[in-house]
Amino acid sequence: MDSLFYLALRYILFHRLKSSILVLCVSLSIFLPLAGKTVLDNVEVELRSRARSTPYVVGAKGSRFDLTLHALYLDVAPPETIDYAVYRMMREAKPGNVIAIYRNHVIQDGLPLVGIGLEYFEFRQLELDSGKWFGRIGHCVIGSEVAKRLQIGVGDKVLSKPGNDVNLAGATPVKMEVTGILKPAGSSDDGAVFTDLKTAWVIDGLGHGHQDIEKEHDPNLFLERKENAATVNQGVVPYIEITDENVSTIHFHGDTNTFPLTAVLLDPRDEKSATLLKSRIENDPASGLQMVRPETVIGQLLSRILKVKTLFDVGSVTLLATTLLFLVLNTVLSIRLRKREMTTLYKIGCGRLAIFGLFLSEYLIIFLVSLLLASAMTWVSVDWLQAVVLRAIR
Amino acid sequence: MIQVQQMKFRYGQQGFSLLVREMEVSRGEKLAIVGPSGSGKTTFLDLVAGIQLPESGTIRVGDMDLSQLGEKSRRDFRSSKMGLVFQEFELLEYLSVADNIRLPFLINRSISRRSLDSDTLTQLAEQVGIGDKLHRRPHQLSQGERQRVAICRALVHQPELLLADEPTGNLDPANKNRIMDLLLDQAEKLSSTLIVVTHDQALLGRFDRTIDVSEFEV
Repeated sequence: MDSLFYLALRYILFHRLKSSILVLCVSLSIFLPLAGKTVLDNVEVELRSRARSTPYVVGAKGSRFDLTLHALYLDVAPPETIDYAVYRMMREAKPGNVIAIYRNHVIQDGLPLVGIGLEYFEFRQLELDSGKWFGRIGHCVIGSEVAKRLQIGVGDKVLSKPGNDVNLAGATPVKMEVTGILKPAGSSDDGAVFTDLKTAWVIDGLGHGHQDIEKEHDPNLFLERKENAATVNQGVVPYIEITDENVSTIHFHGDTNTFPLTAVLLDPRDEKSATLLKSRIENDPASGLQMVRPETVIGQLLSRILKVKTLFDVGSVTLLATTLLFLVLNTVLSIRLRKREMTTLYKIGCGRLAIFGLFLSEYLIIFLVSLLLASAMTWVSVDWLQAVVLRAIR
Repeated sequence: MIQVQQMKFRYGQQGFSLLVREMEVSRGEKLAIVGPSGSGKTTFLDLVAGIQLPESGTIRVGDMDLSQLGEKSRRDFRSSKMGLVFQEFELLEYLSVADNIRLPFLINRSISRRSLDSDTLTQLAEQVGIGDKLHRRPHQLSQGERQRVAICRALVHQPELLLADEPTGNLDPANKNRIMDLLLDQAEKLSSTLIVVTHDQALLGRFDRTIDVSEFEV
């Protein structure tokens, strides 16, 4: 058998082009279903596990899928906002752990900037790799992927992008100081920048501080001067940087109850508390709210994806069948072309079974190499494909 | 060495048939088989080699009656006791010269248990004048060199019986003589019986005996 393998290997190496085409065909027909199954399985596990770890989400009425995906994956575009009063109402009801999320801004590269309370980190079991949690307005904590991608660390600054997903004109960007970097969690939290809700509202223009611009800027940029106030060109203040010196001047105008949130997460004390809150929210149509259970919503979403997977499976089976037919055709032609070789082998003492074994060894080697190649291709591409599929789902 | 008695062979029911009433070849004899095209020279060689089986009669090679052996036993017997040389050389293009020569050891268990060391192989290749071409592929050799490789392959397991079917049929006159010299010399060295099918009348004088297949009943 060793000798047959050796002869088969020599044949394959001598006919490199033919063998490479065969390997490529077989590899692709293994890779597509293998990678497809691996990716879809991983996506399902990832979606279900993230959904399971988030018992309930409250948000604006609309698509339950959009709301759930936004609350689970922070890089998803925000749904309609809800008032901060909803969060207060939920906290007063004391149904369990209540966490406000306001994700309406991005920093460079489109990385999501999320306004949250510190309880979010405990809820998601996120830990600091270096630095400390944010302690005041203008501080932020970044995910491990953000640190890696932007090559920044504790003490560096990140700038929110002007405008937001719902208001392109937006307000003046805020420059934030990175106070901590999170340990990798293998979730979308790795790719987010976290700050407190107030900083996010400052970016919205709902809060601001006052700077002594007379000291720092070119007087030619002043548009209007009054006794105790001045109007200046926007070029004077390209961004707001909140420092220890000016943080005390930051204040908010208006009723904080009307300030925006994009979702509120609820980790209920017990199912009864959650049910009571749900009935309270759903029995008040004027509230414009919905309360969803991510596990259920993701289950519905996955059942839709599984329908697409069936089509993919049909495609994979068709590809496998085509490859098999191609291999059969190749074998038939090969037997014809190698008839003299087989006759010679037989005449000089090679049994028919051994000749069959030689062919089998050739196909076995082709199959093994293809399997290795397909596995390597799957291994290399599965993360990327998974990210593509997750992005497409979101 | 070879005894043929009342051997009858026929292709199909209505096809070509061959009858050899009696024939004997001694050990170490050099025998030429001649005859017109289609007279059954190659068929006779196939029968002696046990590749084909007669319809009736016996073919004894050494102490074995080939007509009584099963397919596997005949194959094992052929690969251990016989060496075959073909007109078209029939080398495997995907193997090096060295691998082509050791091919009988690679494909048949009955002889692969015997060891073939590289010194023996190199020595044999040097004897036939291809010692420096062991790592080449057949397509990189001349016709004469390719036939030398084929002869090496037939000799490598030191067979008792050497069967050659028109070994010089595809060679130019100079190479014809060299290849025939080589076959006769090597058969002599190994004390092997040599049966060569040939069309070439000029070579016949070099054999102990010549048999014209047309003398058989067809």
